[in-house]
Amino acid sequence: MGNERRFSAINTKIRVMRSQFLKDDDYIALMEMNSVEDQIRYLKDETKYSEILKEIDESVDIQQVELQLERLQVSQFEKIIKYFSDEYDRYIRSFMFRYETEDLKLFLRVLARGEKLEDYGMESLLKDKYYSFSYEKIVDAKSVVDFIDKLKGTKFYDVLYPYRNENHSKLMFYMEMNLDRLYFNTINESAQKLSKADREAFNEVFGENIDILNIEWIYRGLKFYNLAPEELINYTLPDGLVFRFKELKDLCYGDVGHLKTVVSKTRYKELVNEDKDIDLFMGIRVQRYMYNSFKNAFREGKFDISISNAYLHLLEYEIKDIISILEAKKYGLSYYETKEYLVREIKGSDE
Amino acid sequence: MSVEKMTMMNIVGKIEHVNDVLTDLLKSEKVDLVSAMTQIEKSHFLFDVSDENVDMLVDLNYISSFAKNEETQQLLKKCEEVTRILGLECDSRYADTRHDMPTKEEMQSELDEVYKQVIEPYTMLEALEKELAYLEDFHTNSFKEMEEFPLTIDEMRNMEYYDFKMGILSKEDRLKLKKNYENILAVLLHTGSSSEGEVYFAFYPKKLESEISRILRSLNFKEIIIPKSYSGTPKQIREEIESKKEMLHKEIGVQQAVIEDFKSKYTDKIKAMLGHIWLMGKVDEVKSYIAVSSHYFYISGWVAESDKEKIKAELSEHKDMLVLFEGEVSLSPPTKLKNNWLFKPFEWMVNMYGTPAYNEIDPTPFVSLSYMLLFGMMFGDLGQGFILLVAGYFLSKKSQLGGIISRMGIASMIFGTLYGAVFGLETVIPTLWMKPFENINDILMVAIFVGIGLLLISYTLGIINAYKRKDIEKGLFGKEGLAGVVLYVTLLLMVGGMLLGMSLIPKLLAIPLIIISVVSILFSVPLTHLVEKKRPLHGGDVSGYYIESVFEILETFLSMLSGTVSFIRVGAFALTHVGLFLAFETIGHMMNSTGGSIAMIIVGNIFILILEGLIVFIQGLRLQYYELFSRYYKGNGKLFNAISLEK
Repeated sequence: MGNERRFSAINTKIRVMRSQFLKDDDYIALMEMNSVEDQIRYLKDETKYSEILKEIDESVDIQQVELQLERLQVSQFEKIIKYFSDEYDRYIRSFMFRYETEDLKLFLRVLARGEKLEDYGMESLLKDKYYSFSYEKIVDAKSVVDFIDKLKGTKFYDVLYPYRNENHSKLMFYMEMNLDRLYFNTINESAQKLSKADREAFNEVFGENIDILNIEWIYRGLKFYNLAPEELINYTLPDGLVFRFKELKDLCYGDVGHLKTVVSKTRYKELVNEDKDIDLFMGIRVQRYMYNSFKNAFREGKFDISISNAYLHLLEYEIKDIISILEAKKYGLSYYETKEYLVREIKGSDE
Repeated sequence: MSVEKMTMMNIVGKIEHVNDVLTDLLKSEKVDLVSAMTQIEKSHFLFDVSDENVDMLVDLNYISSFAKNEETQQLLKKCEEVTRILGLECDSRYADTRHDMPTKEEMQSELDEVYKQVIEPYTMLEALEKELAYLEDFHTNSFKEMEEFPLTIDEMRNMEYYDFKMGILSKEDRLKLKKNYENILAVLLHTGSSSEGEVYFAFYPKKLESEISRILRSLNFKEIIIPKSYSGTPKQIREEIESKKEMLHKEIGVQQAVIEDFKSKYTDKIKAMLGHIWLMGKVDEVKSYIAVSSHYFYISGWVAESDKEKIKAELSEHKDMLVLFEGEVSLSPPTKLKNNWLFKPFEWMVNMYGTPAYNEIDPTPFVSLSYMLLFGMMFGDLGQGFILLVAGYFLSKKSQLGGIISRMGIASMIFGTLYGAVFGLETVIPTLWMKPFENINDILMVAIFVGIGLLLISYTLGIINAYKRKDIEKGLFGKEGLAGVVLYVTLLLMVGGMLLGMSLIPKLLAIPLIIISVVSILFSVPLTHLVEKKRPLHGGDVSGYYIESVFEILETFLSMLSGTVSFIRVGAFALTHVGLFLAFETIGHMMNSTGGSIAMIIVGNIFILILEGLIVFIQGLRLQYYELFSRYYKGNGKLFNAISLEK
């Protein structure tokens, strides 16, 4: 099937779906509200989130709002999946794998602290059929060992198994790294089965994503974690766009200053911009870079996978920003402070 | 040669006999059960009241359906496991249908006994096989490349300043290691491959233990723990493993022998038991159809009229039981087709389209004859027909299609004789009728006439079917009814007359006939309602009805034309058949050698048999389904499906 035929329907559909995103005015209005209740009420009355938040009371915990919004995101996945078949279906589905990974990481953290999962009243985000493990069984896990055993037969088991019998508080970090790596490899694998044009579109965006994640990782590793360079390099993700293994190795065996000089000569220079605190804003900057890159995909409007890809990520950033705004209000941040922590840059307001 | 007459059989008997009665019914394979509960609720379950059976009638007020028996399900499950272990099958072959069936409890304990006997050696066998597979995959391969390593594992374990680890690395991690090997303070050796990935041996100073293990962990190193009992050199360990494997093989043999021994000793007993359980499962399955009260059971089912006496005789040995037959009841009975050996395979073709309704004519004989005629005309060849006949004969053991193919072969042989064709060659046997390729116009004309004949028969069958259904609209006024036939015949005569240049039907008669039939089709619904004295005449939306009707008239003319012309294909395929072969024959001549010619003729025959045979088969089917069936056949019946011991 040609790409024009494959994408003409879904790309049109996605453009309509994207037009329902919040506008800058909505963000400004939200930030200017006086209380979290007002903000939630605004979301319920004025935005596309009204349907999903219908049952939610304004005075509810922000976590509940977040869960509902993420459910909306999953339902958008499902809508998009309907337009695809075979390898494309599998590719879009591999994004869902991320939610599984996030769930598992959350569970692991709770279990590693020696607490019980049932105390947290975990709610599954995905429908049962999208989980590769049995959610019910997993939530029942009593310990990390039990937890890992219950994953037997899934991809997760293989990457977690080596840590089964070790001292867990230290190993949380390793397990999380391995889960993330598994997620990225899974997406990458499923993307390599797409048509040539789509593969190229994917590799470009994915490569950038890998690059900045690796930069962020090495920067923090050098500055805070006190890891051996050998370990640092082993935990990097493969298939970056600009930073291949050789370049990464160079960064790992250097120091923070070296990293800053090297990165400032590349397209990622904004990450190490000294105008603001690098440590504090690195995470936001990473996301902001990807946000702009995804927005570009819509501007180019090619008949390939990039629009679906971009839509799903942009929606994710929107949800993230909404939650940030709610949290910021809860902790009493000012309008200008809040703005700094958003992925998007809000125009139409004076600084 | 028709649809069998059905009768409804109702049985009332004492509840303690229910299993025996059901066993008999299963064995007979003559009854299609229906839900007795529904029958009773709809008051179709009738019997005369006399002094003896007044209880049965009273109990009718307290009926319920049979509860599904969980125990039987579990019994069947366990039974399946036992058969899997013993390599037997739980099926009808061993079923013993005598009436002194052991009770469920007896079966249960007997099965448990057998289960206990086999499960122990079987679990052991499974564990042994697992261990063997583990040894074969893992240990053998892990040490493969280390055959010549001079040190023993124990010597390495006891080293003061050095330590080692063994484990598996994935491809991605292997690459990372390779690219950064110069910075890693350990010696890494590739020692073999297991099913999970490549096996590496890491050798490093003890002082660096924690650092190295952190690095290895970051590479997702999956450690293999070498069992304490292995202490020699890799070569010795491998030998040890080999001998252990041999031992395992022996032990597996022993366990297998235990199971085999048990099986051969008790095989008859086990088979009988499996048969009993199978039967029990079947009886339980059909119990969903029957109704019970506290003292009696009630069964309802369809039986062919011709089987009535046999069933009666088979059930006569049960005491205190009422077996009642009700002739034609208002319900719609299932259809059981009955045809002679020649037509039988074509039932498949009919059922593929739809099973005839109970009160519909069984189209199988007409389908058989017309299909064979059409196929024969299109694919007339004595030699190829013979091959189809033989192929069909062998296939018929496996599928019903075989029967059809062999009959197609017969038809092909008959027409082959008429055309004078053997394996495409037209010079070997004399032509009895004509050669299609030399009489192109004739063969096309014949095809059309055959089509007209078949269409007229279809119309007639359609009218008979409508009469049986008491469907005045379709039978009398409809486009497939009497009006349609009159219109079709009149048009045919007029067109035929024009072509022949003579008058076959006077215009004064033809034009009124056409007008009458068109008007009748146009007003078929109001006319029907007029006859049946139903109001309102149009049954709803009047303007909508006429718009639809006008288009229907248009469609009637078109379908008459296209339906008739459609049969030209029969002649056309007769020509194609010869033409295709001519092409191969010409290529053969061009090869300028006898061997080449013969080879081409063989290739051509194979090609024609497979490809053209398939096309003609489908075209014939198309004519049946679209041109003929649409004119007379509804096929909305339900197939008679007798309960039986088989799957």
